[in-house]
Amino acid sequence: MALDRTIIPTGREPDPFVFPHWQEFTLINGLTVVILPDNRFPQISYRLMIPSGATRDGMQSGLTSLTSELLSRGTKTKSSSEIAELTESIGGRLSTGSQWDASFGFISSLSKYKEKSLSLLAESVLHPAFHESDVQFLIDQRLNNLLMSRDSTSFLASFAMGCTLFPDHPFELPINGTPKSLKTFTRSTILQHYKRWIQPCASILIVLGDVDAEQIMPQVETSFAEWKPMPWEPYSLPVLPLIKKNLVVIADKPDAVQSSIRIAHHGVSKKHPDMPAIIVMNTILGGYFGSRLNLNLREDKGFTYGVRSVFSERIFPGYFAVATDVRNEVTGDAVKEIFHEIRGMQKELVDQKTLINVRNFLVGRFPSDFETTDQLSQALMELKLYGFDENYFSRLRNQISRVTAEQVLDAARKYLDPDHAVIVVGGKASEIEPQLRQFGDVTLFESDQI
Amino acid sequence: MIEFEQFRLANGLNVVVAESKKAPLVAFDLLYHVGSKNEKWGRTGFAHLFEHLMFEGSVHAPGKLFDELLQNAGGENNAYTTEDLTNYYELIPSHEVELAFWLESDRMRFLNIDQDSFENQRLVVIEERRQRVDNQPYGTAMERLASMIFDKHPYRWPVIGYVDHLMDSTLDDVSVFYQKFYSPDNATLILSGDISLNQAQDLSETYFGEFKSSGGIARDFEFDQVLTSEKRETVYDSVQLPAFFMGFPTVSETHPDYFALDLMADILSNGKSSRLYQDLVYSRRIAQSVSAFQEQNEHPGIFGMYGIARPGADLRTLEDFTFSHIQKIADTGVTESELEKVKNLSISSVINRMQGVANIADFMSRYAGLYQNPGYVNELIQKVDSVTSEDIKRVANTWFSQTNRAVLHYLPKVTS
Repeated sequence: MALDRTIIPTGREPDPFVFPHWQEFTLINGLTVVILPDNRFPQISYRLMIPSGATRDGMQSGLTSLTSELLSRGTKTKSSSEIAELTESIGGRLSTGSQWDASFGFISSLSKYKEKSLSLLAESVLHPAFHESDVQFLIDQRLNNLLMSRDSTSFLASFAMGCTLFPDHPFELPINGTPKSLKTFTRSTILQHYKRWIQPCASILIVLGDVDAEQIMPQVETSFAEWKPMPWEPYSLPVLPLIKKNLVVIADKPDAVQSSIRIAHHGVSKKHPDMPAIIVMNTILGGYFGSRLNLNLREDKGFTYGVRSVFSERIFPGYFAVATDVRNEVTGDAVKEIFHEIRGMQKELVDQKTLINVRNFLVGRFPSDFETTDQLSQALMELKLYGFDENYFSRLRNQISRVTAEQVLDAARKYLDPDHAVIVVGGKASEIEPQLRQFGDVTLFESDQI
Repeated sequence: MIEFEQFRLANGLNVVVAESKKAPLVAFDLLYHVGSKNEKWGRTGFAHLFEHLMFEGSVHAPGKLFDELLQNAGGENNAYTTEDLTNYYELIPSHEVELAFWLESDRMRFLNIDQDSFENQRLVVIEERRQRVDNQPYGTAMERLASMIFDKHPYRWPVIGYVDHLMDSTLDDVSVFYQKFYSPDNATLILSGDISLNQAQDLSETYFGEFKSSGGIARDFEFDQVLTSEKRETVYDSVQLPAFFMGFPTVSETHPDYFALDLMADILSNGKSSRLYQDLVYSRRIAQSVSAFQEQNEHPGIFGMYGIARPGADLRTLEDFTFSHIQKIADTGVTESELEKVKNLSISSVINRMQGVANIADFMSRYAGLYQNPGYVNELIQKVDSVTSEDIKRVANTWFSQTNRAVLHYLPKVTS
């Protein structure tokens, strides 16, 4: 008998989600060590998180990330090339860098080299050389990358968005710095920054892989014992300047065939208590393939290959942004549709079908973010960085599954702000400027920083 | 090691099951053995456009129901097209796995596309091309290089296709392509995660068992000979730094020299201790970045190299220095410790691809779908490990000559 294909199969209730159990130790100098054994693969990774990120750059954009990147570029006894050779010989990857809220050192290798990889990471972080020539090398690399980025409309749009949304604020300029700021850094600026901010107190080392605590703790203690703690300097950020009315900014690229659009306003902290409702609200608006923005701009109008909305994940409130690339001639229409969808979220309750669909989507896909050793190590870091407890992820999943249409509407009214937004477009000004005038006074982006 | 079972339905559908209970998820990959190399000139980009159309509705799941039902079930889905294959995949909670069978089987036989959705997705694909190729610095380099190296073989055009060809395609082309390539005997289903062999057999039989086999698909390709003289072109484009792209026609992924070429590319440019990075980026500081890679294809592909010159550096000098590293390997080979290093890196990357049910299904799908050999993933480490330094020296002498190559220079456009 032929199958009756008109009957849609139905599933069962989802299984509960439980984050795997880890062990935790604290060294005398304040370094917390988190160990999560996982013997499925002959691999090990160490992720060191130091809670001083690019937010502390102040007006010295790029200094924190440059300092931390240089940690993997040579120590007092090993040159940059030797460190690379030793790491890669054990099938390893060593990387160091910064995000807004923290700086990182990461090394992974085959587990038979677990001692070697640990000592390479510890030596890199505790005894960096900051050789003059490596400092100059990395600065030049960054300057050239910035130079190349000037041909990318999406880079231009993101750069201009930061400048427009966060003037005179640490979030104004990119984590990696600008041509102007990078040229002011010297070995001694970097050394000073290192001594002030790279320290064990409140830092976390996450050990994940084919290892157990008894095996590795003695070496962890020896490797990091001499790292000296210091009291943390408290810091706060300047109050965000109010965007009084919508601003339109074009970063001109005269030969662009697409416009990179960013519609953005100030956002919320990653630790915001309304986060479950914000996540559901943003997913409906522009957080997944079936979102209102994507169905409108891509699936209905064919303006773009894709469009997303996002709340930046930072301790201090960052931004909310809608981002998309569209062909020149529909730039104004695309902006109009984006505003239409944002305002639509604020006008009325979402229908139950959409709400249930999005909640199910978020709840069902949840376990897929915690499968690989790298994902688990990232997730642990997120818990530690934001001070979440061990039940955070399972609680978040439950909260998401219960968000109501009223909470979504409330979140849209509180945390979307289409009347205090910036409309930043990287693209061909001569063609798109007339299309954008309807949204506010248009200014051409100019900056001595780029 | 990935443990798996494999069976075939009477209509030819090949099914691979890699059961694992670690997470309550199933990755469901349905791979069709059709890619851009099955297109004809004049309709380039069609296999990929067709992939987009597969999300536009089938008879029993019309309109956007495919995405809606999967999202409602907590599933994610997407697809990708290469020169050789098209892979559709779902990552779905295991308690909802039957839905993936229902949806994927429906669009294997009952696709239902109208003119509006066809035209809409054609626009979307053209925007995808602009975003990835035309509006990116150096974005057109690889497609230009391929068109210089291949004269007859369909690897000469890009998977994304050319805009005028996409605009020329019609709804009639859709049904011809569908009838020709979308049949159970041209497909392989890979299931990885929380699903048993019995469950997989029952569901496969229920949802795909009644479909008819196509009876075989003609696959005739014209292949190119090695190049007899160097091809060279210069492009003036919207870029800040000059760059060169160099390509050599080499081998397919099943050729005995493939792994030696792949490891040679790693020795040249994988990681900060690699030869090209150390010499050209770090020591001489004439390159902003350099890369060497062996393409992984069913038919003979390209060994490529590129370098972006630092401001003030001479592009031709950078190109010559880069090529001299191949000549050096051809003359004096590589050291044992260098070889050991790239083997370790290669083994690490194989292990990474074996983590997570979606990665496992994706990793196996290529070998299962193109060669009916999913177990190849478990042989890769041994194949990498058996490459000797003599092998690398030999391939450096075999495949790289200054007459068997194409070179492309990108220079900043002079603005008025």
